[in-house]
Amino acid sequence: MAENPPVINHLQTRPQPVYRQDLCIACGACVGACRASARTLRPDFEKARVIWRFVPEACTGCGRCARYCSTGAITITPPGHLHEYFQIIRRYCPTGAITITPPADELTLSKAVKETSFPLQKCSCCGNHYASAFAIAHLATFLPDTFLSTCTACRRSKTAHSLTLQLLKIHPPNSPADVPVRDSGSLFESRVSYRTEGSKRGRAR
Amino acid sequence: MTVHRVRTICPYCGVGCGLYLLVEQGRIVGVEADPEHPVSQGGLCLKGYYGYNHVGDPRRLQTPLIRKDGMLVPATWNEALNFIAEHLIRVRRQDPDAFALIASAKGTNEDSFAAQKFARVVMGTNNVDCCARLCHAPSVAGLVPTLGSAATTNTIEEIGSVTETIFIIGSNTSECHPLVAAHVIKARERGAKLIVADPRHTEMAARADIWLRVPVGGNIPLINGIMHILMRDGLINTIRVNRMAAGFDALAANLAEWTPERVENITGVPRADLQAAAHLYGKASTAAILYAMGVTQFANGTENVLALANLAIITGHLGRSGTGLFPLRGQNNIQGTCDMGCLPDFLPGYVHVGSSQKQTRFSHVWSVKPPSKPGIRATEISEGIMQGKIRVLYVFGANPVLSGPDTGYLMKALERLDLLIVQDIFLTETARLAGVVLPAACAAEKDGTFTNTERRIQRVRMAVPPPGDARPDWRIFSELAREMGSSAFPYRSPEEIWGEIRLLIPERFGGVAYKRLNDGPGILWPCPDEAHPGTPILYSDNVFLTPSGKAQLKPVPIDPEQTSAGIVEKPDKDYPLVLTTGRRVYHYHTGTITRKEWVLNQIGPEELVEINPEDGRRKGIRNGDLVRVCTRRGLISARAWITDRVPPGTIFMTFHFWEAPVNELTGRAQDPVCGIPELKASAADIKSISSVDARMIRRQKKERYLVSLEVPVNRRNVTKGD
Amino acid sequence: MPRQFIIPDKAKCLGCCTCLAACMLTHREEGAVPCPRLFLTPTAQGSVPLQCRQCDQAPCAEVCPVHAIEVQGEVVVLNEKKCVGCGICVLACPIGCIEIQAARQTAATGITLTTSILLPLTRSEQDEKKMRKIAVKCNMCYFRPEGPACVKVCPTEALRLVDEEDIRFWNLQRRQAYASSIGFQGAAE
Repeated sequence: MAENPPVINHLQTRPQPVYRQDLCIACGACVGACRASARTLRPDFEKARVIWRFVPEACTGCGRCARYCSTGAITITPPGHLHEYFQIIRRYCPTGAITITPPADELTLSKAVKETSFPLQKCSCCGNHYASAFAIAHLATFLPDTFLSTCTACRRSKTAHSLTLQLLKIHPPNSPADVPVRDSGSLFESRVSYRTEGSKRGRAR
Repeated sequence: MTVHRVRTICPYCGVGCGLYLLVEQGRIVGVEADPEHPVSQGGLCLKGYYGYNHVGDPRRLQTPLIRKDGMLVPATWNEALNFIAEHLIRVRRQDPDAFALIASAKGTNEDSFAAQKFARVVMGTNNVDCCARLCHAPSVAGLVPTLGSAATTNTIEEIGSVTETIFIIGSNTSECHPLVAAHVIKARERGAKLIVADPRHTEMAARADIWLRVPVGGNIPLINGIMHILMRDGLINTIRVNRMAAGFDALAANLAEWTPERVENITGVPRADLQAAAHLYGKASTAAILYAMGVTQFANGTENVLALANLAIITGHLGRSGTGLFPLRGQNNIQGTCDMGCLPDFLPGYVHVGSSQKQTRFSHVWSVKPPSKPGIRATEISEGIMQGKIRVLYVFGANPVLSGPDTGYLMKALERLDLLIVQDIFLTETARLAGVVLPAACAAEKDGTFTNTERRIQRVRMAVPPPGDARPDWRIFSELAREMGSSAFPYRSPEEIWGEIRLLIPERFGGVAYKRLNDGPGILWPCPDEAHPGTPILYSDNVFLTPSGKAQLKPVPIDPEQTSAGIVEKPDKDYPLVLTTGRRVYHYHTGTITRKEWVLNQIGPEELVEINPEDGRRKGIRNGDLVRVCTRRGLISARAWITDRVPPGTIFMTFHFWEAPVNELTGRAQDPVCGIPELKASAADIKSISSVDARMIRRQKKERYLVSLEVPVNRRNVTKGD
Repeated sequence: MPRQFIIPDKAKCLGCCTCLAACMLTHREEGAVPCPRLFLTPTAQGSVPLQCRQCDQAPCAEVCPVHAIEVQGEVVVLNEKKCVGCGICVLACPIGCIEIQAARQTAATGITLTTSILLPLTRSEQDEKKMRKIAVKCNMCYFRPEGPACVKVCPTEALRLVDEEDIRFWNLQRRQAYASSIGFQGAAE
C-alpha cells in the first residue's frame, strides 16, 4: 500500500471567513480567538489608527473567529466543522498517510479584506490613545459613557481618588462632595496603563 | 504530614518582626505572622511573608570551595580550614594588621561576637568593621558624643500609640521599614501629625500633613531653619535646655544666621511650610524623629545627625514616652553587630579600644589583651589594599562588590589581595572573586539572637538543618581558631557565646538570659540583671549617657558662602543631574536573597531609573525607554520611569540589581569623622540608548560579575542535610 | 443577592505590595495566571490597591464574546480557559480593574508571569509575541475557604472585606449626615 496515499485538497474543503468591515468594531475578539495567528491588531499611535490584518495563508478555517465575534462581522462558510473533521481524520491515521495539501490557489481568497484600519479613541483625561473608537461606541450603546471615555489607568486613578469620600468617610456637611480628579498637578500623570505604553515602545523601535 | 511551627524573627530589615516558619519534612513551606509580637503585631510585609524560599534554594553553597587553577572547586572543611589557617598564621607572624574582616549585619549576635573575637584575639588586629559603616556610622559618631548612645531611644510601638507629631526625614519608611510605617499610619488614624522631609514623593510624603521637598543634601539648612524658627518664636524653654544640655549659647549664636529666607534660598522649601513644620514639631507635647539613610549617607552625615540631635534636645523631645530619635536600621542585626563590637574603634559594648581601664575585663576574660590601635574602616579597605597595607580580606556575609561605593575601584583592589575569604550562604558577586568560599547557615538554620532597631534582643530559632556541609558562622570561626591553635573558642552552642557576652558587658546584657528570651517578646537593653525588665525609654529623667550626664549641643558649623545644598560632587555642565540611591520594598540590598524568590522577582524584575518628566522632556526620554546612566566612574543601563516622585534635576536608582549596579557610579567621597561614603549624591548624566546598546552593556556586566558562575553547586548534596 | 467585595482604605495603605504578592502566589498555587489581581494605583495622596467590585450586573460579563466571565453566586469569575484576551472587558470595566496580562507557557515551571502590573514597562515586543494574552480580574479567591488572601496579609488592615451589612450601615450613616446637613442649613437660614 501507500503507493497512492489519499490526498485531500485543502482548497476545496477549507471553510473561509467572510468579513464585513462595516460591522467590525476592532474589539480584538477574533485576534484572541484565532489559534493560527492569522489575525493581528496593531495600534499605530502616530496616525491614531488601529490596524486589523488578516493573513489568509495562515487561516485554518476553524471558525473560532466567527463564533466569538461580538458584532457578527465575521461569518464562516462553509461551516467550520468540515475542516475540523479532516484534521481529526489526519490525526488518527496511524501511518500519517493522509495529508492535507496547503492552499495552492490564492484566487478565491483575494476578495477577502486583508487589511483595514480603525480610528483610536483618545483618553479624555490623560490624552493617550487606548482603544478602538468603534469599540467604545459599541459599548456606549448599552453602557454609561461616564467612564468609557477614559483609559483604564485614569479610571483607576479616578476610583482611587474618590475612594474614601465615597464609601468610608461621610461627607462633612457643606463640603464639596466631588474632588476633581488629579487636582494634584502633574503628579503621577505619566504612569499610564501598560497597553498603551507597551505598544508605544514597540513603535519607538 | 504534620506541619510544625517555629517561632523566629524575620531576617530582612531592622524592624525585627516576629513570625512563625511552617516546617514540613525539613522544608519551610510557609510563614505566619506572630500576632503577639510587640512591633509587628501580626503584620508582615511581602519580604517577611514570601521571602523564605532562598532557604532551600539549590544554589545555596553546600561545601567549601577553594580556587585551584583559577576555578572554584569543592573541597572538604578540613582542606579549606587548613588552607586558610596556614595563610592566616603566616600573616599573623608578619603583620597582623594586614588582615581585615568585614562582618555581616545579617548574622546573629553570637556570630558577630565570634567574628570580632576572631579578629582581635586570634589575629590580633582591630581591622574589623561591618556594613554600619555604609549606613549608620554617622549616628554613632553624632549621637554618642551628644547623647551617649547611638541607638533608638524609644520603642516603635510608642510611635503608634503615644506620639503626637512624627517627623520623618531622609527615610522612605513605607518601603524600607514597612512595619514601622504601619505604626505611623496607626498614629495618623489617632490624629497625630506627620511631617516628611524628603526629596522624593514617597508613600509617606504622600500621606504627610506637611511635605518638605528638601533637595538632596539640604538637610542641615532645613533643620537649622526649623531650629531658628523655634528660637525666634519663643518655643524653646531655655531654662530646661540649659539644665539638661551644655553648649546652648554657641548653638543659639549659630542658629541666628539660619533665617527662613536663607533656608528658602538654599533649599527651595517655602518658608510658610518650614514654619508650619517647625511649629508642629515644637508645640507638640510628644514628637519623634525618624531618620535613615537620607540623613546619614552624605559626606556631612555626622553633621546631619548632630543637627537632628540638637533639634531633639532643645525641644526636649527626649526621654519620655512617644518622643525621641529613631535611627531606623536597615539590616536585621546591624544594631547587634555594632553592640558586639564589629567596629574598628570599639570593643563589644562600645568600649573604646584605646581606653585601658575598661579593657581590663576583656583581657581578663579572653586572657589576651585586645589590640589598642583603632583598626581600618570598611570604606578604607580598598585604599588599604592598593597601598599594600591589607593583604588578606575576610568577608563574612557581605557583598561589598555591589554594596560598597565606587565598586570598580574596589574590584581592582580585590585582585591585588593575597587571599580573599568569603563566608556566605550564596555564591555572591564578592564570593565569585574569592580564593576560598565557606558555606554558612542562614537565619532559619541556626539558633541565636538578633537585636532589632529599637534595641530589642530577640531569639532566632533553627527551623531546618543547613544544606549540605554548611555550618553556622560562629562554628566556622571557632573551628578556624582551633585550627590556628587558639583555645579562645571553646563554645559548643550559641548560648555559651551569649554567656560570655553577658559576662563582658553586664551593664547592657547582664540580665538577658536565653530562658527569658525564649518565653518573652524580647528584652530591650540595657538590662543589667535578671530581675530588670529592660529599658524601653533611654534618657528618662533627662539623664544622658555622656560623661557629664548632660546632653552636648554641638552647633553645626556653616560655610557663609554656601548657597546650595551641601554635597561633594555638585552637578555641572557634563554631569547635570544628581543621582541618589536607595531601596525598593520588594528587594533587599544587593538582592542576593530576594532575587532568588520567585514572587519578589516578579514584582520587581528590573531596575527602573526614576526621572522627572521635566528632565525626561529635556533629554528626550520617554517612559520605558532604555537609558544609560553615567558618572565620572562608570556607566550602567536601565529602564526609565518618568515620574514626579523625584524632583527635577534628580534621578533615583536602587542597588538591588547586578544588571544595573548603581554603586559602580557612586563616589568615594567620605565623611571625615566616621568614613561613611556619600552614596546619596553623585553627579550623573542620562541618555536614551537603543536596546542593542543596552544588551551590550548587560553582557559586559554579566561578564564582570561572573554571573554564569552561580549555578547549583553539587546538586547531589541537596538532600544530605535532611 | 448578598455580595462581598474588597475596598482599600487609602489612609491606611502603605503601598508595600504585600497584597499583590499574596495575590500572585495564591493564584499561582491554584494554577491560574500568576498576575496580581490588584492594581496599585498612585494618587497624589499615596498609592492604593484597587480591585474588582464584583458588580451585580457586571458589564464585563455582559460584553465578553466568549462568555468567559460569569457571575457565579456572589463572585464574578473569569474562566481563564475560555478567555481569548480580546480586552473588551477591560474597556467595559467602570473602575478599570481588569487588565490584559500576558502569560507564557513553559515546560518546566508551568505558566510563568512575564510582566507585572506594578512595573508595566518591563516587557519587550518579542516577549509579547510568544505570550498568551489573558484578562485578569479579582475573583475574591473563591477557591480559598479562608477568604481573600490580600485581606489576610495586609499589615495595616487597609483592605477591607465589605458585605451587604456594611453597605447598609454606611448608607444609613450617609442618610443621617445628609439629613443633619439639611437641618443645619435650614436652621442657618
